[in-house]
Amino acid sequence: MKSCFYILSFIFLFSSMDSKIFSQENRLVPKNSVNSQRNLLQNIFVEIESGINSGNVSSISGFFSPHTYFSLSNGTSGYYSSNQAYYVLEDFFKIYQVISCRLQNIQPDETNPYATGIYHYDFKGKREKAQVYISLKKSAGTWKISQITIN
Amino acid sequence: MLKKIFNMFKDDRKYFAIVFFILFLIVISGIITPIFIKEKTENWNKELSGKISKIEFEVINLYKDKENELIKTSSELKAKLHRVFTSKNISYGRLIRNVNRDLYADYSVEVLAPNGKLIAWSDNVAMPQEEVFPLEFEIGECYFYRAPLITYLTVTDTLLVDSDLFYIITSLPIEKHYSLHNPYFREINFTKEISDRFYTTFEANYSQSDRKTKDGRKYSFDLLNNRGNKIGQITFSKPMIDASINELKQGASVFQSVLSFLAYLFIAFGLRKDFRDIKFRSIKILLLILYCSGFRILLYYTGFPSNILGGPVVDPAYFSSAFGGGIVKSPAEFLVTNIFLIIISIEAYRYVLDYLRSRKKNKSFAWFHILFVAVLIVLMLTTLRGLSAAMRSVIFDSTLRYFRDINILPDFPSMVMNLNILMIGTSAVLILGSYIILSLSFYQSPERKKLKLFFAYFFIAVQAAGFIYVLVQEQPLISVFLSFLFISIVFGFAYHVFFLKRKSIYNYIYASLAASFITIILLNHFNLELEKESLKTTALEVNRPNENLFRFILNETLTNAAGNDDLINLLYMIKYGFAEPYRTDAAAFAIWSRSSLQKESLNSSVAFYDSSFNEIGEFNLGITEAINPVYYFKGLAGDDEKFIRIINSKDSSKIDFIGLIPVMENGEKLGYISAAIEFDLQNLSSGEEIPDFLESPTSILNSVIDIEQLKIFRFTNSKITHIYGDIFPSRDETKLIINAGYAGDNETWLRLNLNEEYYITYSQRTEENGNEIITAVLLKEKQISWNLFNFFKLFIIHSLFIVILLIIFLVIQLKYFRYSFRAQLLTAFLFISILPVIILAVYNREIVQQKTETEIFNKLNESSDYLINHIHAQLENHPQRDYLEAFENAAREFNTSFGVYESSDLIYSSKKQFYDAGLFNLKMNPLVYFNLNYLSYREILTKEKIENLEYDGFYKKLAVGNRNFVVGVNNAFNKVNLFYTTLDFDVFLFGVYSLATIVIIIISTILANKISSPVRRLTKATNSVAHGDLNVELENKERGEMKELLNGFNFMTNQLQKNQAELAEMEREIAWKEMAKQVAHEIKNPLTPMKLAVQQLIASYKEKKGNFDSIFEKLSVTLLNQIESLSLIASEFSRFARMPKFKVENIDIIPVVKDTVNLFQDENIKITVQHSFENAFAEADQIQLRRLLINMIRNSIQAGATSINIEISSENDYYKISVSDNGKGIPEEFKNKIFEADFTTKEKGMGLGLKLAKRYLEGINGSIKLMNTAVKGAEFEITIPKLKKKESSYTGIS
Repeated sequence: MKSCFYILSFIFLFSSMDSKIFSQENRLVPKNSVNSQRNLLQNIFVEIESGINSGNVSSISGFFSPHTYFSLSNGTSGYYSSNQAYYVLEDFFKIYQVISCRLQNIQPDETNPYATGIYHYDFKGKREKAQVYISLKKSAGTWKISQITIN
Repeated sequence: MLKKIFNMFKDDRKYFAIVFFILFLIVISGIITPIFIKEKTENWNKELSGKISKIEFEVINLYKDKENELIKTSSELKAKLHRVFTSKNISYGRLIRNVNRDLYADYSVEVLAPNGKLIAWSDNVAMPQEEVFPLEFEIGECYFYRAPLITYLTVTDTLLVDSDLFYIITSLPIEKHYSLHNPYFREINFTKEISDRFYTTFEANYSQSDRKTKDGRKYSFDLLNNRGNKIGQITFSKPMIDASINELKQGASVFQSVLSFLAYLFIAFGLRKDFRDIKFRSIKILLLILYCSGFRILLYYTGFPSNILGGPVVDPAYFSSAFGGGIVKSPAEFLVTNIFLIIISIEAYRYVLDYLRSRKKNKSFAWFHILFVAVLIVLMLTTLRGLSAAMRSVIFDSTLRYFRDINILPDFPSMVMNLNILMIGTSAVLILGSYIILSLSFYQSPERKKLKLFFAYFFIAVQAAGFIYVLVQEQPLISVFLSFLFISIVFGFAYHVFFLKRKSIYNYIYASLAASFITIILLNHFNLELEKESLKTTALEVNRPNENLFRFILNETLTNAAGNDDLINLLYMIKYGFAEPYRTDAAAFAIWSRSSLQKESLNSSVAFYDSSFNEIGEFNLGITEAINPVYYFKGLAGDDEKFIRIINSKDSSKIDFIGLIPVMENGEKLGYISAAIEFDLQNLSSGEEIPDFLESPTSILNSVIDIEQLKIFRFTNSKITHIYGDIFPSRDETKLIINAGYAGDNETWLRLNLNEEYYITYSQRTEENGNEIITAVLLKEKQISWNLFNFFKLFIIHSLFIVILLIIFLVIQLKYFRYSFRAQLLTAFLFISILPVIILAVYNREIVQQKTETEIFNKLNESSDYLINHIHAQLENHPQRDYLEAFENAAREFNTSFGVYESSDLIYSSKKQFYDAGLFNLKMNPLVYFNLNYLSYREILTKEKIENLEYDGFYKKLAVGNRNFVVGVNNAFNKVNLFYTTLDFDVFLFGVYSLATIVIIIISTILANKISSPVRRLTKATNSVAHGDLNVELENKERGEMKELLNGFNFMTNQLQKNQAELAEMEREIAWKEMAKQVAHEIKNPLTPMKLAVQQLIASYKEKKGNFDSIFEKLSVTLLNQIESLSLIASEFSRFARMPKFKVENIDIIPVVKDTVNLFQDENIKITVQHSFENAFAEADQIQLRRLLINMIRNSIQAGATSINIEISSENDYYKISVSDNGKGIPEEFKNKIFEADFTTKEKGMGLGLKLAKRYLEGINGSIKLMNTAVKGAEFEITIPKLKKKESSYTGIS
């Protein structure tokens, strides 16, 4: 009887945990735009900008390519897989807490799309700003981030 | 009531009390934290001033520590130099050596003569001689000295020798004003040190004149030196209440997560007994998995231990995977997950072994077993794929390059990841092994041969399934060969466990070794994939310059530079004549070093101009043609505008990007900054060779493979236009690339043979301005020595962990450890074999190192000879030529970087920009100066260092006319290509010698086993003889003395047996004789009066005596008495002849059985003992029981049995010992006779064994009987009554 009670307790405890813990992260899938490629690219940059503004990596993790290049103010520099990219950016946002991010210059060029802007952040109580550069490239038919620079 | 509650918490339940207490603490902490936060908010102002004071106090202390260290060092140095100057053997060499001791390696030391001339200096010279006087501070007073790139904390002291006053300037670097993104950079930054420590932003000003900040959000305080004078100022952002509250919340969170961890742990302790009482193993393992999973999830949600640890182990850059929602998001999280995995896999493995032990024998292989085995095979293949996927993730989701880093000893994150790799591999091997053993356990046959046959069939079936599994996958992770190899390794492990040593603790060691092999092979396999992927990336990057990125980098560099306070101050001071222009080159370098220009290892430059566009400072690295921004930007409107332009060079392989920005301060233009990037396809890695200490390893092209290992060919419309690397492709090879079948993505993979070496080639076809461009990137296939190096590099690290595990096991088993003969032999063999190998390796390495140094010396000497000869020739042919021009021509002619010194000062360098930037000293290396000028050496080779990079410098004298120079060349700038470097040798050494060591260990183990085997057998046999088994006979296949020894032993036991039998016979005879004598003697006594009585009776009858009746009666009585006497004698003797009683005592049957079985360990028979309880107490004679079992086992061996199964079970009041074998059995006709005395079917033997066994057992109320069996062999069943007074304890399976 006791054993049953404990077994049930375990099952209850286990099932009350977040059930998606063993599933893959819910990746954001870029929307297929009925408009032109330029509009699509524009939308993608806006989505990325919004994700950075909210400090929410999940909303932009769907755009990470298998090899994304990061160059960040915390010294992170190099190519990272899509798995790593998620946590690298998450850690960055924890230290350099976003105040605002604005991509002022979006170039939705199909051959080489990129955007630049300013990233305002709070670092150890001090407000500073950094330059942002994001470029995209096509990978397996979808647009993915090839490089993010925040310096 | 209370008593009832207390009773609930006894035994294991007491841990629940602790759990409740912990939960209570968690609740309390949740309630208290907001109270603390509220109190903090209300008292913030008071607390803030306290915090500010504390920070100020601690920063000042940190500064004082450095100051005290400097003063102490200066005093020590002064004392030493005093001894030098005042000694009788005063020499310049002693002075130089004292100043350049290793103790002062971190300092800059300068000794000036009374006339102000620098006479001795260390490698680093902080203050130029001309800046020392007039002294700005008092003697012994500390101050900050700002050199171009570094700020020093300096103290000037004096040394009076006779009447001469020498000056000693000791400087400790406090802050570097530049930063390099590469592994050689040595960070020295006081500002960063205190920023990191106090988690707020600091600014340090190392001048006396700065005023305190007026920004209310910041706080400033002065830095006072040892004389109480202000020498600097520290400003920091005041701690914010938000940050403080966050800190408090984080502390509470950490506290609660630790408590949660403990609570969950104690729950397990509390449920321990209940867990043990569960009968079904499958339920137990399921509960364990649930518990471990829950525990892991709890740890993840509470952030434990990542919220406590810091540093690279929690940095996702080193490794990160999104699998499981983040339970492997960093090396530390991966390690925690692996700990749980290992626990589950070990328990699963133990349960399978336990199941194997307790499974009833001779159960047939049922249909559902076949189904179950099929499921297990699927699970096996899935597990193998899971392991492969994990290893792929380790390679692809990590920036650690396990095979690229040439250092044999890895750094800490690599060590943690290697441990993770080993742990996950070991878990997989244990699980896979468990699947195999479980499948084998369903087929239980007493015949070992049949079992091995089944094992072989099963192996083939799994291999076939593996083959199909790989083929049917769309994207198989591993090849068929690797699948075959891994399955074989795991089956090897399972074979060892199942057939050889089931219960050995060292099986975990074997599992780890197997795991190490498998994981390293997988890592190597996926690393190759990654390298191939990187060829694609390289092809993409070299195809076109990333214009937008370069624009961005220039924009970022210029914007950051224009807002740099240091730069603004410098330009301001230059404009108004306060600063020396030479510092601008250093400032330009500082700007360049902190920008992406250095991070990306780009050919680039940074330059400063005054407001009239006159250049006042520059740092240029790799830009070959001077780019003058004045030409492009002068006259453009706007004071605050930034301009960036692209300039196409005449050389089509080069494109230049240039930018310019004005530097403004309060609306006043102080000057301009420009930055430029040159993209050159010809020199991809880093333009004009960037020295290693400036090159960034994380540039796009360098991230996976060192770009210098690559060869790149670029074709335009089928004609080769660019080559990167030192190989030119032949026409055939060119055709192969051009005509390769490009797939839909316009890419293809090839394997090319260039100069008899094979290259993996990625080729991509693109279009550019109507031209077909083909870019082929080639990587040489790794040589065998590198493959061995790759393998052993990781294997050695894994071995370290395995050795640690082995030591732990040995410590646990220390009381059982015997330094046996085998162990002694093995130690001796290893010592004799490995020691010379190590000595040889060290010696060879020394030789190679010396040869390498000699070769470097020769190469550098050769270079300097060419230069010197060229300079001489120039000056002879053109006597009016300026020396500097001659030096410049020589540098250009030979494309060699070198410097020229006159006296001790640098007068020329072909790498002027590095000296102007302040990276190198303008003074000659002091020891070189001493050797060349005082010891009159003509040339010298010396080790030098910049940042953490060591290099070789060669200096040679040059006399021209009446001037003496010293020419210096080094391999920091001039790469010396050696045929065989120390590194190459290390690779060879490490790889091949590691293999040799392993072979030595294997062979030594085999030899030790072989040599010690007869000794071990002899030891066991002697033990058996001591326990009464004289039927032992050792198989003798040995040679030499061992053969004689074994023969002697066999003869001895044989003789002992015969002698024992003869002795017994003799003793029996003597006993019988004695008894007969005794009987005869006793019988004679009554016989004499009987004879007399009968004689008297006869005489009386014959004489016809009248009292015949009374005589008859009297004599009858006499006769009857004597007959009674005889009867009594007979009874006594009969009682005497009875067998002696047994020595009955309380014994535990199980260890007696096991000890007896151990006597036959070295015999060619497998004996298994099965019992489902820990103890079996009975009243019996231990020795008789042992003899009985020995006898039965010996009978089985003599009947040809190869396995015996002894099963101890319990039935009512008896213990049953069932002994069955697979021998030839007992013929039907003999079954009734085997318990009879003198019955035997053996050639030798008295036929008493079973008879005595039966007698003994019946004597203790037990029994023995021969069972009827359907299978071949014999089975006996022995019953022994249980001990009545003590209950035998049943603890269940642990």
